[in-house]
Amino acid sequence: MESPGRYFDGQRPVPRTVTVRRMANALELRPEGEGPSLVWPLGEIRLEPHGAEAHLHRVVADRDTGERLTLPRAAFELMMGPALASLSKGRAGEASNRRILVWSVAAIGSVVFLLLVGLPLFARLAVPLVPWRWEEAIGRSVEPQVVEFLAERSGQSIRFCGRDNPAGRLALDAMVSRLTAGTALRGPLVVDVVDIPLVNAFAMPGGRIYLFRPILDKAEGPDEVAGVLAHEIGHVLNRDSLRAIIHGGALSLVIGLVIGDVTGGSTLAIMGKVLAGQAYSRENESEADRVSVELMQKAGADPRAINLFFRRISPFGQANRSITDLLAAHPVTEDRIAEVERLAAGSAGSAHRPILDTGEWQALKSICGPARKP
Amino acid sequence: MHVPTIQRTAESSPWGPAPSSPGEQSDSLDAVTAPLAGQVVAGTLLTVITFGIYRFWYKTALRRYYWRNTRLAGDGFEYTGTGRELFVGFLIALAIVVPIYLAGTLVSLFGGQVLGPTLAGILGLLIMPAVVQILTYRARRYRLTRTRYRGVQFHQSGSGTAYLLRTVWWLVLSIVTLGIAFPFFRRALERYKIENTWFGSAQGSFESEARPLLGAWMAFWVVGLVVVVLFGGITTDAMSDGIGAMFGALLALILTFFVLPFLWIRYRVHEFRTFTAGTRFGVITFASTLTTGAVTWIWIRYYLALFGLMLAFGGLMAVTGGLPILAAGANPLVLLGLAPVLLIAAAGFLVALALVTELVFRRPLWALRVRSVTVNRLDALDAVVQQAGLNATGIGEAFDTGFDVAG
Repeated sequence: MESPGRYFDGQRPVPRTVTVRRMANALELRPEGEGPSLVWPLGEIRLEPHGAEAHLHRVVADRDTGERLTLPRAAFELMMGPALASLSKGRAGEASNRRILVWSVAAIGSVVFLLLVGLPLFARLAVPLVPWRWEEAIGRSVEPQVVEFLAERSGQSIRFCGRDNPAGRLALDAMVSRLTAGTALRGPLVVDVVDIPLVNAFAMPGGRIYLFRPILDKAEGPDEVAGVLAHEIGHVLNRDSLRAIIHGGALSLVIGLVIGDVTGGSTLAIMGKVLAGQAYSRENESEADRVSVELMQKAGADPRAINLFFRRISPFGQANRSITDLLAAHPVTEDRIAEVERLAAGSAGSAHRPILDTGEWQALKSICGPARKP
Repeated sequence: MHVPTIQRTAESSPWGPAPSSPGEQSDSLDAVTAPLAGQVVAGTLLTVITFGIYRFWYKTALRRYYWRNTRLAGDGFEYTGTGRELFVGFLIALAIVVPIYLAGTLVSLFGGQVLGPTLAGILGLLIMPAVVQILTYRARRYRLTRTRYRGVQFHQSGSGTAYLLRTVWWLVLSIVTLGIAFPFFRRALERYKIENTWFGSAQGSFESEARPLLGAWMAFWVVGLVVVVLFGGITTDAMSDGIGAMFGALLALILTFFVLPFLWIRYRVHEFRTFTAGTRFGVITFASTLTTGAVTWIWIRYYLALFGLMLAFGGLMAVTGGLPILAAGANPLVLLGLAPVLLIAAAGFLVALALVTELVFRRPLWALRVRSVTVNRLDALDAVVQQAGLNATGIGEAFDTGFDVAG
């Protein structure tokens, strides 16, 4: 069986008319006029069907020879018969579909592993390598952004209470030093009360802690505030915010670069951040709770006051929580409350002495002065 | 030193010299619009499912489609690149880009008040664009060496660094002239690219002038200046009375969203025609009849289709209760539970978006541009000879990455 075809020798872009004939394990290409026939072993032929044409090219030792042969598709399929299915497709140096599939599955697996295990582990291992001085530098460069974010969020300018209120400042400093007495700190803690209407508190890298004013307003005793503060000191001791920054940075780097383009990337990046961020912060909260109980016990204050406070501000099942709420950043669950009760059980019998005396507590309560008009 | 000559490779042909074509021939490029939607759907879905890793193979499939269906004198072009090469090139690009990114992060964290932003600015605004410009040139070399016509390979000489230096020099001149020299900037870069483009033994040459482009460019430039002045006037309250300010704002918006895009398209179409006419390979010359109206119409249809897509998905979200879900999304726990639903919706949207972009925009634009081009003196192809040793390409050539700037 024979068919006419167009042949290019891979040297010059000039077509030669050939007659193609099927041999047992090869195709024979006979030139028009003088010259010897060419023989293409079937194993070296790559097929690319294209409309009514069959495009063949020749790959020898995984290299494209540049030779091309075009012939009518119907005639070629007839000529090849059942051997058509065994012809190779694709280009020199190309992996088979099965290998692509296998490697894709492996790649998905390693990406998932990286996100769930690798990055948190990396962040955990990297944190001890960062000197405290660097962490303080990070805190200083992050702080203006945080202040700006909070100002935008609350719609007010940010005011740090206690900078012009020596009595309140003294009470706050007393609380901090009594809580941390005998605790090895890497550097000084800088605690400030921030006058914005959000129930929240958080620790930034480098020992910077913000207590938001409504915490003082809603607390009914110094130990409740001290419990929240001790929880944040726990985050400082565990360097959680540094770890979160390293983790978040590495995560956005990995997701952004693996996904590469914007179209699919941003959606997945956001989803990934939410999922990973949630799974990540829960164990940190329990750990900070543990530190809180420990510091409160050492200071002789009531470690369970924080539970009273949480129960007061969070009637469970309350909807409409803002993302900047204490509850969103530090999800309070019955598990956590029960765990605090369990840890504090040892000191249940002993008498507690409030961490501040009445005068100091009044000074701290009024550290921000009269309430601001919203 | 022995220099291999063109004749040496030609002699390896088994049947001696091919017959010469009689007389002068010219033909227009043809664009065959074969079915494409299936490939787009499958490619986009696989890309989403594999966290984006499949995109290198998808992009390769699309290139094969566009190359294969671009035909000249009865034969299609061929794209012989593979997804694996793109993937390896991506990994190499990561090895270059990630350290720069990390360095930028570190200096902005630890560099202090003054030095930090300065160093981060140098990295982000000077070094990064420079690296991208070099990679862009190398990516073009990759694409050309993976392009064949009638079995003969294209390739590219020159270096990314030289290309970068030209870019910097002409960019400085463009800035000094307040943008008026922009067509000269474009011509200089195009010239470097074309003169370093080879089809086998045939080297490109470029004889286009920038002056014919000045009219189309200055129209865009002047309207751009008017917009800047208008916005400046509105923000500084120079036009303090209400009606004047409103009229000025309206005019500025119309100019920005309708007139400026049109003038930009018009400039680029002029540029395409001029640069095409200035390109030669030996005696082979080109001409293009691309029109501003046809290209503008494709853009209008594309924006209408995108608008329709947004409306359709917005309506779908409203009907199926997707919007309340998103509104409740402020609570991460709710979002966590609905992740599968949101992922499916997002995948559906991405597939629809890819279909619109490929079928309503990229393919029509490709077909329009291809069909506008005529190639003269095709008979001179007889003199072209494949050059040996082009396939000795290290992976360093495969810098063609997800950072696609082509088109």
